[in-house]
Amino acid sequence: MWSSPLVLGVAATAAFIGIWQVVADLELVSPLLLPGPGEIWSRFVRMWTTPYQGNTLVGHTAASLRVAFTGWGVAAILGLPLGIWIGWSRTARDIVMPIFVMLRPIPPIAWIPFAVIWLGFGVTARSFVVFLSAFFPIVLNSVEAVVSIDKVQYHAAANLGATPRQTFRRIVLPTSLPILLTGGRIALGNAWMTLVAAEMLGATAGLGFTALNARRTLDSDIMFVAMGVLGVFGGLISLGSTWLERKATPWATRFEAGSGPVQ
Amino acid sequence: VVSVVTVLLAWTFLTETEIIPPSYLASPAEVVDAGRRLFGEGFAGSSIYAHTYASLQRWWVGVAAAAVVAVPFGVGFAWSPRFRYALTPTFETLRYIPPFAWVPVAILWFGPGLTAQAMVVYIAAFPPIVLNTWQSISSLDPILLKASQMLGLSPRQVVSRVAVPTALPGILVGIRIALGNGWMALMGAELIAGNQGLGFLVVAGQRNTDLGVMMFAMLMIGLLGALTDVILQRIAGWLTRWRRGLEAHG
Repeated sequence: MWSSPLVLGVAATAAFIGIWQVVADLELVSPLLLPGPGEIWSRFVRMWTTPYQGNTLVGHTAASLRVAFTGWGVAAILGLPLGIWIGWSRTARDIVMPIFVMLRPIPPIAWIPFAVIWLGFGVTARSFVVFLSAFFPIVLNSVEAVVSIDKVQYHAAANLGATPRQTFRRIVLPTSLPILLTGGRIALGNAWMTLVAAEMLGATAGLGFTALNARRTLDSDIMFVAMGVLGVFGGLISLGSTWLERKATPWATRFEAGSGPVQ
Repeated sequence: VVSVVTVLLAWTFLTETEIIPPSYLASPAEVVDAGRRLFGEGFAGSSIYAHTYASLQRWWVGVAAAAVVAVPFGVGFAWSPRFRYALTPTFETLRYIPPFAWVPVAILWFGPGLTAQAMVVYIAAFPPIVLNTWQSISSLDPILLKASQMLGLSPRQVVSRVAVPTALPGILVGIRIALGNGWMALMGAELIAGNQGLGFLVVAGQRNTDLGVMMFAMLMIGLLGALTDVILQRIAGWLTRWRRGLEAHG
C-alpha cells in the first residue's frame, strides 16, 4: 500500500497541511506571518462574494486573465509574421537578429518602469510588459519553424508537381506547426509569470495587485488566497497548453524523459 | 552590425532632435552621462558598485542555496519512487505559483533586504534544478553502472567516477536555467520593493524622471545576465571536457 503514488501523495500532502494547521492553531508562528490553511480557505470562500479593493476574487482573476491573454495575443499576431519573415529572408535575419541579441538579455520585467512612463498605470502598460515577455519566444520559434523545413523535400515536392497548397500541407506544416505551438506555449507561461510583476507595479485590479496590497494592509490570508489562485491558473495554463499542443500535433516527437533540459 | 549602427543612429537622431520627447526616451549621450554619474557619485544613496554588488550577492546566495537543497532533492526523486510520490503533489502545486507572487510573502517574513530578495531567487531557481537533476540521474545507464561495478570499482568509485560525471552535464543545465530564472525574478523583486540593487535603480530612475539612469541600469542588467551565462557555459564546458571526444565520435 505504501508504494502507491496516490496513497503516498495524498497521505504526505494531508500530513503537510495537518502540521501547518496545528502550527497555526498553536500560534507557533504569528498568524500575521503565516495564517493556517483553514483560515485561508474560509477567506477564499468569502472572497467569492465580498469585494476586496473594488473587485471580488472572480473580478480580479478575470482582470489578470484579460491582461495576460491580450499581451500574449498581440505578441502572437505581431511575432508570427515577423518570425516567419526573418526565417525566409536572409536580409531580414541580418537586420533584425543583432537588435534581438542586444535586447533579449534584458528581462521583460525591467521594462515595467518604462511602460509606466510611456503608458501610465493602466491595462495598456501591463499588457505591454506581458507582450514583451511573450514576443521573444514566439518570434524565435517562428524563425526556427521556417528554418527547420527541409529545403530538399520542399523543392522536390514542387518539382514533382505538388501544388503550393499540397506542399504547404504535406511538407511545411508538419515540421513547422509543432515548433510554432511550442513557442506559443512557452510564451503563455512567460506571460502569466510576468503579469504578476506588472500587476505589482501600478495596477488597481488583478491577482498580483491583490497580493501586494494585502501585504500592505497585513491581510496575509488574502495574500495567500491570491497566490493560490495564481498558482492554480499557472498550472491550468501550463497543463492545458501542453495538452492542446499534443492534441493538435500528435505526430511531433516530444522530448522524452532523459533528453533535453526541463524549464 | 550595420543594423545595430542604424538603430543607434536613429536613436541618437530621434532623441537629440527631440522628435521623441526627452521625458519618453533618453538620448545615448544622456545614458553615457548617467553612467558617468553612477560611477562617480552614485545614485539613490549608493554607488553603482554597491547596487551591483547587492544584486549579485542576492542572486548568487539565492541560486547557491537552491542548488544545495535542490540537487539532493532531485537525487531523491530519482532514487526513491516513494520519496517522489510523497512530495510530487506539493512540489507540483508550488511550482506553478509564479516567483513574483512570493515577493509580498518574502517581504512580510523578512522585510526588504538580502534574505527576502534571495528567497525570491531561491524559489525561482529551485524547480529547474530539481527537475534537471532528477532527469539526469534517472537517465543514467544502468548497464554502465553495473559494468563499472563488475570491472571492480567500489560503490564509492562508481559514484565518483561514473555516476557524477555522467549526471553532471544535466545538473549544470539545470543550474544555468536556474541562474537565468533567478536573475529575472530578482529584478522583479527589486523593482517591487527594496532600496538597493540594479532593479531598484530602474525604479529610482523612474521616480526621479532620470531616464538616463533607468536605461543605464537596464543595460547593466542585460549585460550581467548575459555575461554570467557565458561564464557558466565556459565552466560547464570545462567540467564536462571529457565529453568532447565522445561527441566527436557520435
